[in-house]
Parts: sequence; C-alpha cells; structure tokens
Amino acid sequence: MTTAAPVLESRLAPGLIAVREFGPLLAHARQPLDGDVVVDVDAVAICGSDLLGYLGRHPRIRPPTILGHELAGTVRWRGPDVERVEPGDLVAVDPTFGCGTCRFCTQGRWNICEDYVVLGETDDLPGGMAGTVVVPADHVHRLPAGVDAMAGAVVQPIAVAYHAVVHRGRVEAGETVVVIGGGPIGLGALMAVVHAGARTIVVDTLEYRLELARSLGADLTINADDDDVVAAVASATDGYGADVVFEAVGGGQDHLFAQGLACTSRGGRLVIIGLKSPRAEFDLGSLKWGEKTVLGSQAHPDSFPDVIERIGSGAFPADRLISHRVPWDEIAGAFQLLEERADGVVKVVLTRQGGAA
Amino acid sequence: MKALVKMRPGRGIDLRDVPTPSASADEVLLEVATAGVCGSDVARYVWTRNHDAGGAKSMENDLPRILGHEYAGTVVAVGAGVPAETIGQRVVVQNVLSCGRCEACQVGNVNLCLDRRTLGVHRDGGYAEYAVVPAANVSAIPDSLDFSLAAAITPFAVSSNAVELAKVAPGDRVVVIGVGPIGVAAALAARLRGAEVVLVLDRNVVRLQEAAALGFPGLNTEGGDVATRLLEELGPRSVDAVIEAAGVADAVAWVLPILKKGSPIVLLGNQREVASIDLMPVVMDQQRIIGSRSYSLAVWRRALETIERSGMDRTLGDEVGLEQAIERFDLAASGQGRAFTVVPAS
Repeated sequence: MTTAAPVLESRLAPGLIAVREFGPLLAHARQPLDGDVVVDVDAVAICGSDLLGYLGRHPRIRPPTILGHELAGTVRWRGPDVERVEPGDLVAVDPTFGCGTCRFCTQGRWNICEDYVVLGETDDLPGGMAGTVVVPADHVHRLPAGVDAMAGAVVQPIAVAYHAVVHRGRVEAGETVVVIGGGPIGLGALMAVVHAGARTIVVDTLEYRLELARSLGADLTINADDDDVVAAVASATDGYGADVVFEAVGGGQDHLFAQGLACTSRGGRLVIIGLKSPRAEFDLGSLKWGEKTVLGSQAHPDSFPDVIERIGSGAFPADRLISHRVPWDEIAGAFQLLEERADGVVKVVLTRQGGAA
Repeated sequence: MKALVKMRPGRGIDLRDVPTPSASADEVLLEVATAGVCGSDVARYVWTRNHDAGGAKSMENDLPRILGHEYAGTVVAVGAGVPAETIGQRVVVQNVLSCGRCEACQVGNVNLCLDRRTLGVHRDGGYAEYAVVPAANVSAIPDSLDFSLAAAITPFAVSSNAVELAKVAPGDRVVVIGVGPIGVAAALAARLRGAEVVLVLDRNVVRLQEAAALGFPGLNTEGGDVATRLLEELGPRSVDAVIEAAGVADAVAWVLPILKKGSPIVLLGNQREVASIDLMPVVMDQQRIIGSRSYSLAVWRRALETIERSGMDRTLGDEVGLEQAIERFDLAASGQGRAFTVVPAS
C-alpha cells in the first residue's frame, strides 16, 4: 500500500557556505515521482574530495553546496511503481547519475556519461547533509540485516575501489598488486584485491594506516616517507614490478603518476582511481617499450550490490574503515579532523543518531 | 633405484629396481620427495582405452615407463649448461614438455602445443627415488612450501586453467560437477578468486562428504532427475559459471536451465563417452561451452603463487611408499580408497 507522495519543503541544512566555513543553507528537495524513493538520511561519510571542496581546491565541489555523496538512511516513502524497497528499509544510496539515454548510459556506463552528476557536489543537487533525499528507486539498495547506516554510508567509497579492482583492473588470483594510498579508497581496494586472491602491497606515509592495511590482509606495506617506493616494490617482485598498480592517493602531487607507472611491471597495468593533478610528467618510453596499460577508473556503475553483499557476509569489514563517528551538527570539527589527519583518522561518518569515535 | 614402472599394456604397475638416471645437458637430477596421484594416473594403471584417458594409446610404444606426473623434490645433480647453484634447490616439476616453436608455444600456451608430451607419460616421471627433468621444467619453491603441497600445484594449475577460462570473478556463483581431486581443486580455485561455490555434484558419497568438510554443499546425482533437482535447489538462471570435472556430457544438459545467459560451462574432466545433447539452448541463450586442457605457463605461474593460500593443503591424503602405492592404485581403480600421494623415500 502506498500513501500519497509527501510534499517536501525546502529546509535549512548544514551547508558549505564558503571555503572552510559551514553554515545553514536552504536545501531544495524535488517532489517525488511514481518511480522514486524518499530517504531520510541517517549517516553521511566524508570523502577526500569533500575535503578538497571544503578547502576550495576541487574542480566540481564548490561552495555554496550541501555535501554528502556517501550516504545511507531509512526509506520514508516509495512510489507506486517501486517494488524493491518498502518504507522502513535501511538503504545505501547511489549518488551518481547519468542522462540515461546516451551511448554510455545505455551500455550501463553512466559513470562516463558526459552529463554525469553526483549528489552533494553542487547546490542544485544537495547531498546527504540535506537530511532527506529523493532518488529513483534503482539508486537505493537495501542493506542486509547486521549492516547499519554507518556501514551503509561507506558502501559508496568501497564501491569506487571495487569497480577499479574488479571491472577496470581485473585482478587475477596469483597476481601481485600495489595499492598506492592507504586511505579509505586504497583500503577498500585492498579488501577487493585480497578477496580476489591476489598478493597485495600497500603504500602510504601514515604508519597507522599501514598497520590497518596489514590487519586487513596486506602482505607487505611500504612507508613512502621512509623508503624509495619504486625500489621497494621492485625488491618485493624479483625486480619485475607489480602486475597491477592502483593509484588511490587522490591528491594533487604530480609525481604520483610517474611513480605508479614505474611500479608497474612490463605488460602490467596502472589504474588511476584518485589522481587529481591535471598534468603529469612520466617516462612514456617505459609505457611503450614495456607495453604497460593505463586505465582510468571512475565511480561505480555496477558495484553497489556486490559491495553490499560482501559487507553483509563479512568479506569486506567496512566497519574497520570508520575511525570516527561524529554527531551530525559537528560537521565543522569533522572536516578539521580530516584536514589535520589527526587522531588516527581514516573515514569519518556523520550520524544523526548520536556519535562516538 | 626403486621405481613404479608401467611395464606392459594392460592393468597393473610394477615395483622395479632400475638404474639411477643421470642428468644430460640442460637437465637436472631430482631426489623425488613427493609424487601426487591423479585420475589419469589411475587410468594409466588400469590401461583405460576410452577416449585415450590417461594417454594409453599414445603411450603404448613408450613402455616401459616410470609413471608419476605431479612431483616435487630436491635437485641433487645438474647436467652441462645448468648453473651449479641449482644443486640443493627445492623445486616443483612443471610436467608439460613443449616444442617451443609452434604458434601455441610462442605465446606460452604449452598445453596447446602441437607436439605436447608429458613427463610421467612420454618420459619417465616421479614415482621413483630419482628423476631426470629438463632444467626449464623445474621451478624453485619457497622453504615455507612443503613438498607434498608443492606436488599439488599441478592439479591445482590444471583446475585453475578451467576456472580462468570461465573468467570466474569475485562474487560469481559457481557450480562444480564431480568432486574428485580435480573438481575439488577447481572449487578451491573458484573460492580463491572470491567466487561462491554454491553447489557441487557427485555420485560418490565419500567424495561429497569430503567436499562438504571443505565447505562445499553437495548434491548426490545418484538419485537421478538431476536437472529438476538443480532447478529446485538453485532456481533458474542463478549461476554464473559451471565447471564440469566428471567427464559426464549429460551434465551440460543438467545445468543449462540454472545457468545465466551468456555464461560459461568449462569441460575440464576427460569425457567418458561420446555425448548426445540438445545444443539449441546454447544458441538461444548465448552460452559458452569451453574445453580446458592442462594449463598455460601463465596459469602455472599463478598456481605456484597461490598454492599456499589455496586450501589444497586440506586435500592431500595419505602418504605411502612405492610398494604400498600399488595396492592403493588397485583400490582407486575400483572407485574405492582414499586419496594418496607417493613418497619414494619411505
């Protein structure tokens, strides 16, 4: 039985009103249609790109905006055409959208649609911090019993990593894989690579993240502040380099591409998940003469159900990525924590049901 | 040295005292630590002629022959051209002898070599205290890898070849038909790749029990009506890949209804007889029926890399000496007896 669609009014939400400044912003909600679902958001996780937006350094995420593209919540209402969820269901929300009709969308690759948009990037599409979102039903995914809203909020970043590992990198059991960057994306990639049966080396500069990586199954970790990453990878691979390298640092450092390529074996592949620098200098010769392959990886048009299933089964221990659970209105403090890399921070989740670290 | 030798056509294998061989140029001499036993070795013991399972037809002119094609040991001597540092190395034998020149060999598909021979079939193999092996056919193994598990790299690689041909990906639902050593290895190889083996089939209760102990739920085909029972158990179009490891062609017909469209059935087991099945569903649903033979060098390398994490250590069976092995072959040939491996020194 469906009730009539709720009339959603615009309301104030914790928005990014200026660089490094949060304040109330009016969140406009579109009215739900028959194929839509209305979700009351319970948890929003903060991403490295949100942080860059906060710092005024992201190409798309800019103030004024209501953030939150990693979100989970409770279904308040579903349209009469919707069968996959019921009011009361706990769901993870896929915040990514394509136009639906172009050659990429009709191939299932809306992540590379030219009109690709994401909730929580610009103010015409408010994100999870708006408190309530309206999305087409195929963008909500029921969470299995035992998976709470906070774990649901990290489905999206793990899906980014999963898509890169399984659909772009196509990691094979028995390969050696290097993940450069031990943040949530890198650690999500680690989980997927371990699950695929490959050997993993994780690189980061923060010792606590490397320790977390080891506890999640990394066979070897390299601290980039202490060691020459390329030399260490060569030493761990009989001089060959890795079959697959995932670049998951995501910062603007332009040496990362060259480093990733140098860690890739001849005949191997480098998957760019995170790099934000628009330019890079690298040894094109090594790519050509070694027949290396570079692949871009963008979001996750196909990964939510698989990731949710693995979180539910325990194969992907999503909870281990959440270092801080913060009350909803303490968003400013949460961003400071991230900016300072303080207190062992990995993934910060904002929650409307009280918070604890 | 003592060796198990196939002396003549027909059933049987003899324990013989034969001259210890020596390594020629580009060869090494191994002290064999462990030699595994596969269905094809049992077929060679029995001298099964159906579809040349075990290579009986191609072997006839090569007898007498020391059998054993899955083995590992220590290099004790080298021939000319092989570095002296190799002496003392712990190694596993890659048993495919390929010409190195044909189209397949040029891309590492030694399993598809036009002139493919096998150690333990066309050249003396590992059921002996010592064995000569081309230097190119030994791979060093880490000290952490027991010889008994190293010998299992061969069946694991054969099964991994099938699983890779099926392009099994994490999250896939896989069914394995036949859980003898090769089927079990295939199930483990699928699991290693993050797939879920949702069901295994066999008609042998003991094999199903052993598979269940490894966490693979089973269905006994002995009751008949397998296609209907599979549909009831798993539902239509619910499986991403099927690995057929029993050599039963009817199994293809059993699984087509539960297989998702556009999906693979890999034929890994040697077919017992010529089949007659309706292929129209294969066309209508764009299914892929794929043969799998041995392993490519790339698959071999990945099997070597993954064997310690594969779970194969739980499948190894009893260790017996050369003499006791004869009786175990006899039992295996009548479908009885547990898995075993041969340890020549014991």
